[in-house]
Amino acid sequence: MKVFGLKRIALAGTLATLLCFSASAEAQKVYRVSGLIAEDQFASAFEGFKYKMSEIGYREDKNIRYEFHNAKGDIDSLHKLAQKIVREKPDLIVTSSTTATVPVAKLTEGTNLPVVFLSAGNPLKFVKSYASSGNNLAGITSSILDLTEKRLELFKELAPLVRRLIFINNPGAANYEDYISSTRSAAKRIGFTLAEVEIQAANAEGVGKQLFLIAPRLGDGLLIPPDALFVGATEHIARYAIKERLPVVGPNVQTVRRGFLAAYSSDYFALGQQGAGLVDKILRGAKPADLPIEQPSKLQLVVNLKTAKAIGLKVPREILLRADEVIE
Amino acid sequence: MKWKRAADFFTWRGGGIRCRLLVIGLLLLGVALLANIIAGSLYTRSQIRKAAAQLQTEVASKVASQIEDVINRQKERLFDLAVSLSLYEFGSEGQRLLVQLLLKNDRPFTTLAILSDKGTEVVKVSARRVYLPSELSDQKDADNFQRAMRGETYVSPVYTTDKAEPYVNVAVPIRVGPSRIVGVVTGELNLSFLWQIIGEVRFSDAGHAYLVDSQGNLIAHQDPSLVLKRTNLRDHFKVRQFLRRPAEKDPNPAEEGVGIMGRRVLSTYAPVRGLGWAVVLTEPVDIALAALATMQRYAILLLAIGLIVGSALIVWVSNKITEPIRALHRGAEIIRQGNLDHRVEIRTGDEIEQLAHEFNEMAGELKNSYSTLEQRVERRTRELGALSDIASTLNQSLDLAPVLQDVIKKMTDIFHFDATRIFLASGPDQIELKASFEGDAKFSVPHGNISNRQGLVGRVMASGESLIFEHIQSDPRYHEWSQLRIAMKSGHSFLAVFPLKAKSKPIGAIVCVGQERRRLTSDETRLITSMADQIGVAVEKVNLFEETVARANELAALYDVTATVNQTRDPDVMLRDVVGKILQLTEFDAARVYLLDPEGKELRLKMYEGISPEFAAQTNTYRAGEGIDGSVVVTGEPILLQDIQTDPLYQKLARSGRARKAGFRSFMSFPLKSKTNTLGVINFLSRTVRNVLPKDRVLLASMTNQICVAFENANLFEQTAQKAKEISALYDVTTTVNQSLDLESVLEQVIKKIMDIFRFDTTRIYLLDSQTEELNVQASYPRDRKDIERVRVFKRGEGIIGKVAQTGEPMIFEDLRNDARYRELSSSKNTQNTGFCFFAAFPITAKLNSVGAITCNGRAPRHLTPGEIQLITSMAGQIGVAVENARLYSETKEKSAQLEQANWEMQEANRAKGDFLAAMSHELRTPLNVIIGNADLCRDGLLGETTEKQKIALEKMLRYSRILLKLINDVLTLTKIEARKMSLDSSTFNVGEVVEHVQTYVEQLNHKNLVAVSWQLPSRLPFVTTDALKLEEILQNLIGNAYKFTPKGSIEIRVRDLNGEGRVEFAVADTGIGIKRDDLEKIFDEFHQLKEAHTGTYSGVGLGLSIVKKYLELMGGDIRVESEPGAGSTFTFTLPYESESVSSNKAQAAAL
Repeated sequence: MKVFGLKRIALAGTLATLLCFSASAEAQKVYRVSGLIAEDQFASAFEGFKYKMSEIGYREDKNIRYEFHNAKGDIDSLHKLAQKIVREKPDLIVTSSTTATVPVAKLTEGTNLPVVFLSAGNPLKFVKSYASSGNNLAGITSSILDLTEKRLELFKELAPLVRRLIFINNPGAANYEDYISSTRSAAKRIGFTLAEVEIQAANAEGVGKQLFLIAPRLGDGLLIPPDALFVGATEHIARYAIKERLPVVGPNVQTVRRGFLAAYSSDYFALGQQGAGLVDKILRGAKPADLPIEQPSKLQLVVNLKTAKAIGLKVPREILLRADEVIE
Repeated sequence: MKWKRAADFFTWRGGGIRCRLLVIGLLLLGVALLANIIAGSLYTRSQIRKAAAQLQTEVASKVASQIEDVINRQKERLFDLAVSLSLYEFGSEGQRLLVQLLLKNDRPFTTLAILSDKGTEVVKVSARRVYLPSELSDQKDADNFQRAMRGETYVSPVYTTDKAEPYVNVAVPIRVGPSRIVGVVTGELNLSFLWQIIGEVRFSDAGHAYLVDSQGNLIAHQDPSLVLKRTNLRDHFKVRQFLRRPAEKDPNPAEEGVGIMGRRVLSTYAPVRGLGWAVVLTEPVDIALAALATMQRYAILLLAIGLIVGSALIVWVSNKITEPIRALHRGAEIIRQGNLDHRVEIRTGDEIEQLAHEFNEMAGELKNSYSTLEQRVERRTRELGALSDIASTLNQSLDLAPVLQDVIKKMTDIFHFDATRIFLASGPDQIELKASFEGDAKFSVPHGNISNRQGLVGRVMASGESLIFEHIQSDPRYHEWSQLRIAMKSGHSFLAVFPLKAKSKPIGAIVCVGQERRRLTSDETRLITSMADQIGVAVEKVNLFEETVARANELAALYDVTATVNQTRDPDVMLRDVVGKILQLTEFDAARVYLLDPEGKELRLKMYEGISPEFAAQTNTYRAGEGIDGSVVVTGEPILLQDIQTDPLYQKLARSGRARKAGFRSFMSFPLKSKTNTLGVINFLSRTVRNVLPKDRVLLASMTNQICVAFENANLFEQTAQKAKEISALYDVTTTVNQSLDLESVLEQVIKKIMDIFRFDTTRIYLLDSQTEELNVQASYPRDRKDIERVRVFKRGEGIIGKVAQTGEPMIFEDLRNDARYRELSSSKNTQNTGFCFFAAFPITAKLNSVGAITCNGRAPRHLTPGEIQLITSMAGQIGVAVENARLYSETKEKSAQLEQANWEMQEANRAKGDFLAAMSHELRTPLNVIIGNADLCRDGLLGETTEKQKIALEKMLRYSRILLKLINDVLTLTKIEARKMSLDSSTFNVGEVVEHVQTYVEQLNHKNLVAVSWQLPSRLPFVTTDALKLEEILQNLIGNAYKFTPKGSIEIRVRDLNGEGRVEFAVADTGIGIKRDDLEKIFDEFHQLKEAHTGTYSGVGLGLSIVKKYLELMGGDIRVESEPGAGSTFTFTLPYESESVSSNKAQAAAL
């Protein structure tokens, strides 16, 4: 037994030496990870991503280098940035949402360049199934389409008197068709009528201007789809809603912090953290096609009492109890 | 086999004791170390495995209980909720809020529902879905409700949703008080939160944990993708064990087996109590037992070190043991190299020292033996040197005397004799002293021949055994055997006689003498005997050499003669040369050659050498059987007389004795014989007595044979040359005959050839005139011999020439001066009168008939050989061929001139006939048309009333006039066709148009409906390009014929469009009288009519079918007929869509 113990010590020593060598060998490799952010709201996802990556052991400028590009809601620049990133051939590309993932997926189609999306509302646009992407993509669904009903339910609980919702939508949006269909069916189930308004604008200002052009009394509530254009124009929309005293439910919690009345969605920061796990696996050699599309591990209900006050809405107590975050 | 190898190993040779010790030692050491290491390894391995298995089992149990705790905690949360819910009314907002708050605070729960005691869902809330009141369902039959209502906490089996994550449903009762259950709360629990717990399980370096449900499906693992892919781990051996024993509560011991990736793993599982799940731990064996591998490497290192140290030790020990042995070996090696004074110094005090001592003693012994041996070898070497010296002396030269002198001198020196002599046999009974050597002259012995029967030498040669006298004075044998006693007289004491032998026969003796008494040692005796044998061999060799030289000389002489024979073909020159050569070689003084006359009765002197012409004239001829040469030529055996002065045989045979008188002593006579007969005799004469040995006789016989060969060759050459000349002449004649049809020149050349070869004085050729039966001179040579030219003509059978020409047998008169036959046969005696002695006549035949004769004359009598006769006969045959050829040629020429004339006349006649027919037809038609026109007018009453009888007569006139007109027209048509004046007037039309016209014709023809006429026409008839009128005429002719030869029955006309061939087919079939097979081939000939037609029943002249055929040929069509007598005929013809002449016109146009 003594001999065995000595052997173990010798073995441990050898292993330690080997590990040191391998660690020093790995230190020489600096991963280049590029990111494409469709719009500011997803910035927190990238923050969560970087935070978790450093927790795992990827230190910026030591063994990893990030190059994140934000299109700021501008579709043209989004496509240009996508081309630029793919041309640079990084080790891995991280994308924010469906809008940002679609061009990157197209440009990297058929290559081995891994792409990880952090918060895709409708991942089935570019992957085969939730169990396997079948291509160079992996990532997390934000479940945003799945939660359409829940958002309408929230609307009902917040403003029980609202019957007709102004549903603005962007025909140029990546998920346009899916938003429309899921919202229509959800509205029918929950008991809302929809006033669908198409807004085509190049940027947030455009959205603001167009909103003021539409007839103010088309409906008594405002439903905003999870589209980068509208998320980018959150402040403009919020201003409009307050002016018209319309309760507005946004696509994600960040929009509430920027002025919408309430939202029920996954937290981008948490999604970013979740995405770091996937990136780690890929950098260690896993193939994206072998990784299933993950669900958000946490959903959040956020209510903005300031906005509620501004439009003269009394938020029910139950909502406040259930809320994960109340902005006052 | 293996045992044998092992045994070989331990008894191998080579390598030395040290090496053997080293190998065996290392083997033993290695085996011991290896056994130790294997045993140690096995023990350690079992210990490591035990430790790893224990570790796994502990970890698995711990994780399983951790999972159990987590699930229990979730259950407790649900219990707590149930307690809170019991405070509210079922379905109230309060209950809804409580449920929503749990959802918010406890993330693993994704859906919560409250069921009333009736099983109806009253509240249902999900984090992701909205459940409307209408969607609340009745769950009273669901397991979870049933079990919870019984007071149990229910956990469902694991299931997955569309997003593939694993879920369980947990249900707990809502109680009011301890026993009353008022409802149930159920929660859907997302088990993905277990992934973290399982994922954090790490042990050793590659160990993993799996959480599987009761179906073997993966619930949690560090790699969630495996879970989301709904992986089933049934293939893992531990999972299979777990599924076989799901109720087991204790952890299963770790074991080795095959993992899911096919790798060998160490694995265990621990059941999660109350859930039917299991935590499975697995770790690759090689990693689990990595420590063992390291230990084994150490063990191998240890083994290597052990072997190195061990071998060093063994080397040291083996050196210690083997050093004295090697010293012994070194000593032995020095002694082996020749140093017999060397002694081995070993002081070990054991067996090896004793061995060294014995070895030293042995070396001493060896030294002694060696020195004795050396002396003997020296002596023997000396002896052998002497023997070799003698042998080399003997081999130096083939001149025997000096060699023998040299040899005995050496022998005298070597053996210290005082004198030595060699005697050799010189004749049958004689021996001769060949060499002697004396140290002192006074010891010399008399020379001369001694009889080999005498004395000691004779005795030794007779017996072949040596005689040695150590002291002759006291040796009684000497006194008894020696006759001359020279040795004793000359004061010698020692005498030895050794025989000289060749091929085991004594050929002489060697005598050695010494002044002093002496004893020869056995070695000396043996050496002298050996020397004597050497001398014997040398003597034999010299004899053989001399014989060989003599034989070579003879062969050279024979070669000379043969060469002379072959150098010339003139027999006289050859004979002179050869005889000269033989005389030169054999040293005879004279030679004579006699040749037998052709009759074989007389020998005539052909040539001579070395005798006077007078002597030659006297002995010019001998009759066969007379004298010596006459006897030789008759008997074929030579006669050799050594001395004719004394020889009685000579006196008996040669009665004249001229040779003896001329002073010759030896006389040899040899016959000259060819293969078959004797040609003559050759004599050789010598003025001295010559003893002819058998070999000389053979040589002379060979030389005379060469003379015979030369004679034969000369004859053969002459014959061959003559034959070649004859064949060449015959060839020339044959060529001349075949090259020319001009008889006169051929005959001239043949005659010239015959004259060239046979050198007759005249030659003539007579040829038979078949009409007059006379033979006329056609050629002669020389031309201007008026004497023989007097008679130039013979009647066949008249005189010799006439007879020869008649009988075909040649006649030859070798000398007609006194030939009774000639006088009897010759009518003119012209030949004889002109002074010729020789006359021959040969027949000239062609196709077995005699066509002439050839005659030859000579001034001298002459004999023709059978070959010559054959040659002249062959030439005569060739003349016959030439005569026949010339005749045929002239006949052929005549015939062809006749044919040419006849042909010209025929063409003229034909042309005249054509012209006549054309003119006649034309001239006939004009008046006939007038007749028909007027008859028509009369019949129709335009020229006045006619009676019925007149009308009938007119009808007949008209009918037959028309027939006549048709006949005339036909004749005209045929004439035109033959004169190639007929051409096609082509146009493109539908066949139907022609058919319509013909139908009208048929209606008129058959207006009395005597026969049934039917038409078979296709619905659409094609267009054709051809002469429409001629087509119509063809059809009319054929139908008219059919009508004519069908007294009753039917006629059928068929038209078919042969679209595939581009042709139209017309057929006219009747059931009339038919045509016989023999007639079928002739019916298209002009003026041919069936026999039946001649009976008058059927009118016509037989031009219709001929015209039809000619028309069709013009139009590119063809016609055939099938018929059976009594059954009817079918005429079928086809026409191309476009007639050929039309087509060719078009093609020409296109080409232009």
